[in-house]
Amino acid sequence: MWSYLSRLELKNSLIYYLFLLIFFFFWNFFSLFTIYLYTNFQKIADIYKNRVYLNLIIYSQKSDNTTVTNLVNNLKQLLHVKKVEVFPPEKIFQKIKNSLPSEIFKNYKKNEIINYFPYVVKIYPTSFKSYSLLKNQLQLLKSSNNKIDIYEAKISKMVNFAFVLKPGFFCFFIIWIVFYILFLLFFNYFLNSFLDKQIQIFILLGGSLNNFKIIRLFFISAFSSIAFIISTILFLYIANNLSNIFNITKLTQSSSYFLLSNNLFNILIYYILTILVFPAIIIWFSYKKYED
Amino acid sequence: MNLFFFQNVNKIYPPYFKALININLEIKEGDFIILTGSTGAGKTTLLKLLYREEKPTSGEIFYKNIPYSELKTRQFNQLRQKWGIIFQDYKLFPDLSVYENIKISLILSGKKFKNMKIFIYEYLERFLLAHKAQKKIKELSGGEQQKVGVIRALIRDPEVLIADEPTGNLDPDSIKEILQILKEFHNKGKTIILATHDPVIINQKLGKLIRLKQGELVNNVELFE
Repeated sequence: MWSYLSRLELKNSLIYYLFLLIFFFFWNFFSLFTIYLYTNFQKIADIYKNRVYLNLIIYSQKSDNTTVTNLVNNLKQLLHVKKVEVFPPEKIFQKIKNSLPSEIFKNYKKNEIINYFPYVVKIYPTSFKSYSLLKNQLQLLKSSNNKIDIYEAKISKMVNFAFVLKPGFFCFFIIWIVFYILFLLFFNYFLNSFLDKQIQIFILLGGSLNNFKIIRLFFISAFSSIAFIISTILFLYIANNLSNIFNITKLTQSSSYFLLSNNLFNILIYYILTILVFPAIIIWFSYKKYED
Repeated sequence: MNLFFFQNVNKIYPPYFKALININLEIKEGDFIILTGSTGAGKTTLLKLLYREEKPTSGEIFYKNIPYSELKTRQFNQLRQKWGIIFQDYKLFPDLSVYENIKISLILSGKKFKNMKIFIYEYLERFLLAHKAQKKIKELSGGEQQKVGVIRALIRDPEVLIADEPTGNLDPDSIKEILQILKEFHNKGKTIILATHDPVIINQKLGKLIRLKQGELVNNVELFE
């Protein structure tokens, strides 16, 4: 009987199962890729979160040294400040003089050039969480002093973004899973209406709906598993190459081998949920209308 | 004891087509019921209510004094496994062969056979369809499809046979064959409920004639006991 039921299920709806295969291929690929990007981003952010800082640029004349010293002393008193490093214009000049165009040195003396350079004060927050609070305090300071500017280092921006991204990512992933569940619902209801006649005949002959449910689950799982295997292999290949290109393997150990060996349990849970549990619940739900 | 009992059964198809009006009907075990009436009189609807393809709008149907509304899906499945139903629109699986359509019905009946294949071919021979056993249903003519529908129901040796216009598209020889099988069935004490307006069958005076007119029972004439 199972072979007949399989033929009844698959004969006219093979094209829709192929559509499911393509859908799941992309859905799975995008899911894995999103998780990969997110986890790597978070790992890098974790590594750098204790190194975040804010730069305060102070445009002040060299002779006006006392103003800078006072300001630095005030900064040290702030609640969220762990450490303050001051880089005078001379130091800044030494750092970047090689990158300055040679014409400048022909027209100006060294001291004249240095006069154009600001003081840079590197301020480290007490913890990563106090980064934003410190930034707000500095913004207040900036609003009362027009000689001050705040510059956020790229790495600080990135770490801050990773922190903000966390809840956003979870919201996105829930929506992404809901999208998959809605697709499964649509797919099952569509197949039921497409195969309605033969389901009715089977029931009227005394057949049990459970047989159809099992067959449906078998085919959905089989097609999804094929898509899962192909897209996971492709994902691992691309992820491995990306890790090598950006050299993040050293930082996060995100090679394919690492991803597979350290996440086997997670992958198994993901597989069971998306390929067995969700479809089983939705199939059970979609056949409700045939029950008295 | 009543096998089936219709109590004040009404069936209205939306929005307001009254297919059956206040039907009260008793069917006893071993009865041979012939439902007759013109097209649209409600014969098919009455049978659909009987095998639960449709539900009544109001009223209740009882099977061995148990209301249908109290029977669960699983219990209905078990009942249908013991019944043989010949549908007016055949209800065959078009992508399966003649042999497979009959085999699936036999499997679902739950009966064990030593050699199912020989048993099926014997029936097919009887209806001159053995040479088309491996043909797909969609490759058969209307009459041949009807024969497959009839074989599928009869081969189960059901306790109750429900037949909706079983001879509509058949040749006289096949009608004779079916009548012969129906008589054998009835002689074995089985219950038959047959809807037809075929005068050949009605004139055979096989059992109780029940006439429907515009959804209502007109009379209940005993032709043959």
